[in-house]
Amino acid sequence: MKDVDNVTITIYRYTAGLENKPGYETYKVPVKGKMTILQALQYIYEEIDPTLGFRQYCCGVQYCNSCRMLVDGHPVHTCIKVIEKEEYTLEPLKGYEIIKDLIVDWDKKIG
Amino acid sequence: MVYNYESLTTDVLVIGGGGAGARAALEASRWGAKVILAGKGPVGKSGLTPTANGGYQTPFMAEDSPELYCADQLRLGCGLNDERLLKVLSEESLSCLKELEGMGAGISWQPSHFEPTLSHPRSVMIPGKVMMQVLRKSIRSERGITLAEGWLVTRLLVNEGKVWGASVFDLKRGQFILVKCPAIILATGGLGELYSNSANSPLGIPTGSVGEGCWLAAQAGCELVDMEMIQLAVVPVRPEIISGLRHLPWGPFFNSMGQEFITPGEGPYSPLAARQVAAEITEGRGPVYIDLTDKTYRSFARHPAAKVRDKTLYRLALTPFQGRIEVAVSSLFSMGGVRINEQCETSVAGLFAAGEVSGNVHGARRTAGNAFPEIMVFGRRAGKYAALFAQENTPEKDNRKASEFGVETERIKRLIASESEGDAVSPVYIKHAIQNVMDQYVHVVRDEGGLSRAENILRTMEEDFLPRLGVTGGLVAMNLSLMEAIAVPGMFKVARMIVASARARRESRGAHYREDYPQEGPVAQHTRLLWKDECPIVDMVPVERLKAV
Repeated sequence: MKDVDNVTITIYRYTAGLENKPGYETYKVPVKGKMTILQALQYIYEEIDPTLGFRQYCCGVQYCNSCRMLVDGHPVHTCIKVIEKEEYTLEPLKGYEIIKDLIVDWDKKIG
Repeated sequence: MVYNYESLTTDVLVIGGGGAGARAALEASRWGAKVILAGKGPVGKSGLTPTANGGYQTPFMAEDSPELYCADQLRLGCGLNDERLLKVLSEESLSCLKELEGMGAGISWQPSHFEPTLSHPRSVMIPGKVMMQVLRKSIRSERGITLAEGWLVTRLLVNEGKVWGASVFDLKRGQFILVKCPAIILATGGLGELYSNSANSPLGIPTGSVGEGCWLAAQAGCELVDMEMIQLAVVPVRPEIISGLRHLPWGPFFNSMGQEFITPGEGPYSPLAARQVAAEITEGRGPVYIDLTDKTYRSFARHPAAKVRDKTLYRLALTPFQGRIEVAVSSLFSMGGVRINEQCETSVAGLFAAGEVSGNVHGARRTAGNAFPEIMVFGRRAGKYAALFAQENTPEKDNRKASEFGVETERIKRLIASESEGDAVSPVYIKHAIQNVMDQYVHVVRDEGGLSRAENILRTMEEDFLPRLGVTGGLVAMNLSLMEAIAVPGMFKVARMIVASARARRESRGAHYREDYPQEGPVAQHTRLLWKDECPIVDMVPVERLKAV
C-alpha cells in the first residue's frame, strides 16, 4: 500500500428535479497519512464544494450502505476504502434512481 | 419558487433512525398503532447504534441480581440516576435481549468485565450491526410502520401542553410536511458533535448527533435534566483515519516521556482517566499513546461480527500492536436529556422519549454496556405507552392550529433563501465555531470563569451568525448544506443549555468536574432545565427515589 500526497477525484454530478445534465467534476484533495474515500468526500464538502451530495453517515461496519458507490466502476464501501493511488472516479450505485450526485434512492430500483 | 406542503396523519411519530427508534416503532405497531419512523439518515440503520461494539449489560448470572445491578449503577452514577428507571432497566433488560435472540440475533453470552468496578461481569455481546439487522427486518415486516428517510423534524407542534403534530422538512423531496399525530417518541440519540473530537463521528464522519431531540423538547416546553453530564472518554484521534473509533483495547497509555499515568483499575468510561489524559496533554506531556507494539497481536473481538472490523483494522495496520495510536478525550455519550418516567412520558402530554436523548437513567456516569439495554427497554416501553396514549387521544381534525406550522415553514424558507451573500457564514463554519467553544470551556474540567465566557461567546455568535447563515445549493433534494443549516440554530441552543446547567451545578459529580467546586455536594440533585423567553432556566431539584416498601 502506498501513501499519496494528493488525490484527484472525479465525481458524477446530477441533481434530480433540476434542469441539469449529468456531468463530472474534478476535485483535488490533500492526503495526510491514511485517508478513506468517504473522508475525502467530507473534505470536499467542508473545504471546496458544499453542494456535493453524498450520504454523510458512516456505520463503519458495511451495514448501512450509506457510503456505497462505484469507485472506478466497482461497488465499494467508501468508509473503509483507503486512498492508495492518485486518481479515482466516483459514481452513484447502478440500479437505482439518482437523487443527487452520489446519493441514490434505495426505494426506487430501475432497470 | 413554489413551496408545497402535504399533511399526513398518524398515531405515533417516532423520530430517530437508530436502535431506540426502531424498537419503539416496532412496539407501537405491535400495540396497534399506525407508525411513521422518521430519520435524517437511513432509517433503522443509522444513529450511533450500528457503530457500537455491542456490550449489553444484563444481570442474568446466578450470583448476580437486578438489585446488585441497580446498586452498581447508582454507585457509579453518583446517586443521580432515577431509581424507578433503573429498576425497570434491571428487570427488563434480559427479556429484551432474549427477544432480539428470538428475532435471530447471535449473542455472545459469556459476560465480560468492561467496567472494572462493577460487582459482577454482566456485559454480553450483541454488536450494534447485529441488533439493527434483526430490528430492521422486523420493522419492515410490520405493515403498520412507514419508514421515512431524509425527514428532518424541525419543530414539535404543541397546544396547551400537549403535542398535536410535528413540522417536517423532507430532504429527499425538498418539501414541507405537517404530520398530525397524538403521540411522538423522541429517539434522536446524543449530542456528541458539539465537540470537535467525538466518538459520535466514527472514522471521522459525522453521524448527525447534534442534540436536536433536546432542542425539540425544550422548545416544546419540556423539562430536561442534567444536561451538563456529558461523558468524555479516551478515544483515538490519530492516525486521523480512525479518529472516533472506539474499538481498541484499554491501554496501556503512555505520555510523551513514555510514562504510564492512568490510575490502575480505572476503565474506558472513567471520568478520572479522561481527566488524567486531558491533563497530560494540556500540561505539555502529550501526545498520549496507546502502545502495544511490543506485544503479539490478538483480536479482542469476541463476536463474529466484531471480528470483521478487527480484521479490517489489522489489514490497514491500524491496531496498537502494529503502531502507536494517539488518543485524546472525545465526547461519547450524553447522560442528561429529556426527563422521563417509567412509561417514557415527558412533562409534555403525548411526548415520549427513549434512549440517549432521555436524561435521568445513567446519572452522572454511564457504565460500559448500559446504552444498549437502555435503548431496548425504554424503546419498547415508549412504543407501548405511546400507542396506548394514541388510542385515547385521536389526531386533531381541525386545522385551526396549523398556523404554528406556517410560522415554522416560513422560518425554514428564510433559511433556504439566505443563499450566500457577501457576508454569509456557512453552517460548517458555525458548527466548528460552536465546537471550539465547547472544546475550550465546557470539556472535562470546568469552572465559572470559563463557563460564563462560553455563555457570552455562544450568545454573541448566535446573534452575529444566525442572521447571516448561508445555504449553498438552495432547495434541492438531499442538500447537505441545507440540512446542516437547519441543525445549526438548535446546536447553539443545546450548547447554551449545557453551559447553563454546568454553571448551575456548583459541585463535582461523575462526569461533571468543576475546578472551583472539586467536592461532591452532600445531596444528589438534578439540574432541571426549562426553555423560557429564549433562555435556558435551570434550578436544582431532588432525584426520584423508590418509595420504601
